[in-house]
Amino acid sequence: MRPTKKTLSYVLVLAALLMFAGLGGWYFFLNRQAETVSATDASRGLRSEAPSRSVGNIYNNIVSGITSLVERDGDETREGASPPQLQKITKTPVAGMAFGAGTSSVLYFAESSTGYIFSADTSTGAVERLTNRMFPKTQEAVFSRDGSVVLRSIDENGDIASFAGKIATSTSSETVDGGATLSGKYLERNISAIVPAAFSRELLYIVKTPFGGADGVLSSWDGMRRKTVFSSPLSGWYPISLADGRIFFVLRPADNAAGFAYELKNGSLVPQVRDARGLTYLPNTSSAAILYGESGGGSLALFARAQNDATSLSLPIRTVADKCVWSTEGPAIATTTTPKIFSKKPAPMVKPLVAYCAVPQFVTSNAFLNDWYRGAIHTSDSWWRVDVSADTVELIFAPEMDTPIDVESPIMDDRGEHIAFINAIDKTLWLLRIKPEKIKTTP
Amino acid sequence: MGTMMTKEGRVAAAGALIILSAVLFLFAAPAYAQFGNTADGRLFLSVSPEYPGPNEPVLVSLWNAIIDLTGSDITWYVNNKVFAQGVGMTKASIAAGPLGSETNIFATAQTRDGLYASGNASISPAEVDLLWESDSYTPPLYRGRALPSAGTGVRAQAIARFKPAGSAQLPERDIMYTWKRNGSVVASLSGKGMSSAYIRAPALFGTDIIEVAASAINGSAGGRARAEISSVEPVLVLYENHPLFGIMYNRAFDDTASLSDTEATFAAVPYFAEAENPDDPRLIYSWSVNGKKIPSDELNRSELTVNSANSNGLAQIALSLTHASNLAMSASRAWRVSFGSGNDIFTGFNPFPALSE
Repeated sequence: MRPTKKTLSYVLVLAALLMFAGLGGWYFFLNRQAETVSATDASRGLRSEAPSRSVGNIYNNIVSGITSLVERDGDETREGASPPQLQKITKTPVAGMAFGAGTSSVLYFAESSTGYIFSADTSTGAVERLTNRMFPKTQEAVFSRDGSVVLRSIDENGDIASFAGKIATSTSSETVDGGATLSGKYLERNISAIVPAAFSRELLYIVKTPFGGADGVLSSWDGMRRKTVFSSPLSGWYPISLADGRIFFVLRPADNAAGFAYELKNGSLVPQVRDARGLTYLPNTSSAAILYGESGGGSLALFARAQNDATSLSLPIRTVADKCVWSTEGPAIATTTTPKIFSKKPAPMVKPLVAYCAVPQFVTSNAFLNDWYRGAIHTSDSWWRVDVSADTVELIFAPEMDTPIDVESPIMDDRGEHIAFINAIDKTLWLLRIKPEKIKTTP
Repeated sequence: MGTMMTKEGRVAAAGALIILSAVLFLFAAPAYAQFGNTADGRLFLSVSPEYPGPNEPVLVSLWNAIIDLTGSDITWYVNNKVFAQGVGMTKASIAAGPLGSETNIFATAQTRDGLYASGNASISPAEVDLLWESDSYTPPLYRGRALPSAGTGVRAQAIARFKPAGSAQLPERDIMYTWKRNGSVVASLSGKGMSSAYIRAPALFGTDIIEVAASAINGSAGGRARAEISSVEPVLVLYENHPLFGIMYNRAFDDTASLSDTEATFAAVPYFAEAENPDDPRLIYSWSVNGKKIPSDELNRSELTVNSANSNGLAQIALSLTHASNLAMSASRAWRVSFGSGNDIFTGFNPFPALSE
């Protein structure tokens, strides 16, 4: 039996209908998927358009709905009003951040889940995604002053992977819609700690050796050239690099365990702090001043030393040096209290040795460092200004009781106006505005 | 008579031997405290602490077996300048100089009878740091130190700074290291240039005293350091292994916790355990949820995924950890986790009905 022309027409019409139905179903499916992606983005704190290269507003894109939680100085959403003293920059975990060189308002940060790099202008509220290359589950991001970044994560074997990359500029040919490519290379495996060498375009890191020890390595950014500057049969070190060229190696701390901090000078380790229990250490750029914390016997103590041969001063605040940052404010923007008309020659300005420290309002653990590093306890911190020169401390900010802030990795901008930090409770990024300091003048 | 003489002879010989031994012992004192001769007698100077550090106060004492020093005029000189003077002043507190310096001490004693004695010593301060850590497990980006637990090892490093006056710091190869554990010398770890040591961790709940003495091969300086190292019990910590963020090391689960999701993967991290990683084959995990034993995933034995769908969303997660070859190692802990929201009554559920016994 041959199919008639009529039957053929029915079959063709049916096929056409099925095709249209399929296309319609596919359209609705895609629409549904787009809604899901949009909802996921929204839940991550980003609007659906955030992954594009559009410029938005911090409050709308990142912290919408959170401003009432952190508002301190009135209604900051009103146009022209000053921003609050404490701002929550992101809703989602970040892996690291840095201020733009020479600015106080541009803050770069890496999103933990994607490894995308964002910039946030804290004065205008604009936020922009800078990169489009994904680095899932980024645990740590280390920025250099020229916009380079090292993104660190744990691979499937439990090894530490470190990708050193540079963000392409907006004029670069590598820039594509939705951000620029982060070009770079993976460094050697199992770098346990890494910092950019603040005095050159290099990296300083600690890498474990096969026999349980560690090497301190100064490397080019791409890892192609490397020089071992320090070796130890112990692996638990972390490096510090200062802009004045000094390099320090500090033994990782534990409560009650003797800690040591050394400066690397001409290939030798010169002790800075010796035999201090639960030592946390923070040297000052361009001076010999240090802050160091001790954790032992269930209590915390913070000390300051203005010079190498000076006596350490016990400060009346109980915290760890990890929660402190030295003020970067210099005499260039200092104000003098002496009217010029009465002075024959300008009084030399003395840069005060000032640090800002987050101080736990209460500590509930007898082994604070061990528990804090494990994420087993969190603190609720207030911010204090520490004037090491004058041996004074001053409370500058205490958050509301329902906004616990557990400060981690604080950094300060070049102008000494803002401190950015990670809240260890949820790894979100926060910004604290510091009021300008008065610089003392010598009579 | 012969017997008497023999006895006297023995006594005299014994006395001479004692004096000779004492003299030899004192002569054998470290070279940084050197002694001088005079026509009338010798003063012996002892230094405490034996190995002073830079700028450390040092107590120097005089001793002489023949002269009554308590009634003598004693003068102390430090670097050829009179430092102190007085009758019977047999002790002086002198500050050691900075690293690389040499402080010369000279003392004279003049008795009422006109006897004269003198002696000298020099102090070359040295520093020795004793650093240690364990090879126990900590997560890759953990910022703290690995602590020893029973069965693990302790890596120790001595950093000695000897800088003889006017010369460069001594290299490690010119330094003799002597390692002690609880007062006993560990000969296999000691020797020239042996600045590091690998020692087994103290026994369960134990504390060991590790000491290292370092001395310049030429005897010009010496120093020592000690550390009390206690074993801790491995600490079991539970984190969420989040699909977006990975293991959230910043947020350890407390005994009770709540999650907004209805499904979560938990990662157990055995801090300070004898292991290479959490899935080390020597570690034996025993998971249970609401009293039901859950077989471990062979590839990720340190992890457990719980789905609370179709339940009241409350899970009592218990974990026991032992070691295949280290009987001293065991840790256990339980967490009460609330999934989703609105579940405030704990009645338990079975997230793995197919696997339950």
